[in-house]
Amino acid sequence: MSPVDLAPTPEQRAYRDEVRALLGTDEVRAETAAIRTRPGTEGGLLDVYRKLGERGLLAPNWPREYGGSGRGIAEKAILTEELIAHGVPDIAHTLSVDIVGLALLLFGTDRQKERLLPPIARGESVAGVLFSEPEAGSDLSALRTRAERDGDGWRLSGRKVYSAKTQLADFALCAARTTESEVRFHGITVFLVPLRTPGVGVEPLWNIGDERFNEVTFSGIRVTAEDVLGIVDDGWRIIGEVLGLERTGIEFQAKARRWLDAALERTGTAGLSPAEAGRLVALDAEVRAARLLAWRCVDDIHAGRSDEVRSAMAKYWAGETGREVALAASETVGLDALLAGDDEESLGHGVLEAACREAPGLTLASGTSEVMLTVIASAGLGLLA
Amino acid sequence: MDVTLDAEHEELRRLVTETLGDEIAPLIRRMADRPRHGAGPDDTEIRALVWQALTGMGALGLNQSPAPGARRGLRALAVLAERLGEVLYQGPLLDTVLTSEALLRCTPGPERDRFLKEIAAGASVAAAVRDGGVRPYDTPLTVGAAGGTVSAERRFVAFAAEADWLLIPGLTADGAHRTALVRRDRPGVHLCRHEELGRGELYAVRLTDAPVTLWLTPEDDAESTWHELIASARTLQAAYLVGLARAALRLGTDRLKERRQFGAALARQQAPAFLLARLATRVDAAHLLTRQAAWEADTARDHRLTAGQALAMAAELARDTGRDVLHLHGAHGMTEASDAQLFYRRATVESRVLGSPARVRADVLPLLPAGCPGD
Repeated sequence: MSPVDLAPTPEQRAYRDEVRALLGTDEVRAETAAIRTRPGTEGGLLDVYRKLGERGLLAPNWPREYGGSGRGIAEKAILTEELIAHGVPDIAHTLSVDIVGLALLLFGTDRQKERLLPPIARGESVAGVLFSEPEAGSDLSALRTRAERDGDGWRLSGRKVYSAKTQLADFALCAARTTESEVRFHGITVFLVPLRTPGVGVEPLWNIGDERFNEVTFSGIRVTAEDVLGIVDDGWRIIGEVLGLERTGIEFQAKARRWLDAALERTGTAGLSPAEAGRLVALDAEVRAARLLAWRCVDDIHAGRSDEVRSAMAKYWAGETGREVALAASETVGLDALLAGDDEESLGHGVLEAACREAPGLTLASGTSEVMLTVIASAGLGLLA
Repeated sequence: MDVTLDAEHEELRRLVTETLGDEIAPLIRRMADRPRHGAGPDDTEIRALVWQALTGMGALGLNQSPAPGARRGLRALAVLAERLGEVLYQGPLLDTVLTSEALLRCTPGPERDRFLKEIAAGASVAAAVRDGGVRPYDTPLTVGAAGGTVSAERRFVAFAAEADWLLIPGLTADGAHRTALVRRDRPGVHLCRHEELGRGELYAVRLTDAPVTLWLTPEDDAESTWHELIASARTLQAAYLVGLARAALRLGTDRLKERRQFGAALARQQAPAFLLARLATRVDAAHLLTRQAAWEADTARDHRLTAGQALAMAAELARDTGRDVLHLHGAHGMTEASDAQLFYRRATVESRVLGSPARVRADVLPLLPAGCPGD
């Protein structure tokens, strides 16, 4: 692949074309439009996920035996870009394929992979992530969910918040403390928790975004060694590695691109004031740089040289840029940009209105901007020590 | 996808870093800086040595060997320019390689080839393109009656007093874009050094019926050729500014680690650490966008938009880094002994010689399309 230009290999181009062709069908467009005008109301997984799954496009970088198509990390990033460019809600893909699937592939047993991965790859199952708690956000080591020994298994009790898609998920990655330790990072275990089980409560936490959050409570449900991902008490390493590998900024830059293009399509460049024009040219450059930073991470992962500082830079830049794009782009368009998708006069099913609601999450999700700056300052510049 | 340097450019970077290494960097950094109070050291020798080292490593020929069917060289030159920015190099190198590119876009002929060879052998050129405007080729120029002389006035021409040649693009009264190559030491060439913030080698140049050695005749339309040349100049200037910002950032980081206040190193405080972390991220972003512009040029794509965006981004980055790193040095940063003020002054000048970020963005606005991933 050519350096910097992101020009794809013929195989990658073919993959992107195939995904585009599917996402561009009337059926998919209609489904996407419907969900955009009635956000948060879907009763199950979108059909588009099944359609992608049927064609082996949904988990392209997974091995074939688990329902993937044995392609690379680049194809996974391409799928993310295309889902977002076509307005398809991508969170189920990010959670199930990018985070949970990656965790299973890296740390799961063969049995766990055989049982859990194929339904996700077919677009028939979704998995959630249960890390955050009311008192444990960026500082995950402060989590209070406990897994108490019970014979050859554990009893899980606690409360998880801000999880997306858990109302539809069959299972979730759940971090819980299994051992008290002086070292806060030690003693955390990651479980693969079945969610359609008595003792698991899922209640909505409504928020300003299109995707509802959930509060998930565990009332002493029993989990076994079969449900442990990796090694008991070694969860901190698993979480760090998975979140680090998932943290490329791909989805954030793709959202920023979609929002900026929506504004440019509406305003053009001819009638803008010099200040507005200059801002749009600058934002376009920032979005393009975000894409380069993100693809540099993808390249790093592909080459097996994942770099936490570069990942933090990519995520920080894309998150901050995306948030700014949402506000500046909608400001340039004017008040019409703030008409929601269920308003008859909305622009592009309310894409910029939804952007303004989603944007604050870009500097929070996948590690806050402050956490990213801490990584850059400490690991990158040798400061804060 | 591969967004890292390929082996050829990695090797070039190693060579450039070795040639302009850390031991010589402090000397280069002060090169061409004329102290405001008292006479500065005579830096003639170090300037000559640096020029010799650059020509010796083949810097002037980097864009003179186009591969069949492809225009190559801007990526290599961007690698070089970034290192030049890191060591705060001041000299006619970037103008000279830009002149090579201008010549390469001209109709082939013995005169053109003679100049290309002279440049590759070490002849230097001061190009009148860094006057703070975005279209220096639209500045008035008068062709003498017989076509053999040129009259024009230009400002902020870097190293005009020591370059062998002057490159003067302009617009005649009848609307034709012409570009003259003039020997600096000929009658009719008058130079006057500017006193300016950077305290470097910027000159006002007045040409009064100065004899023209060569009129450049581009193979394509002269104006569109200059659009592309300016895009290349912007790409290299962006690379220079990225390097400048990277080195200034290093200076600031070192300062935070050394300086103790309130009983601890400043490095332990979050506010200055985050300030530098943000700048470090901007350095990487501008670096990649600049390389993207160079890659587009080398692969015969239209690089005008990316080059303008990269320059505007790098210019603001360099300006902000210079400002913030000086701030982190406290009052010491304002003393002549501190390099912080040197980075600050140079960043302020270099970030606007090809037009302010606002002007550059306005210039490329018509090129802005709605983007599309993968296209």
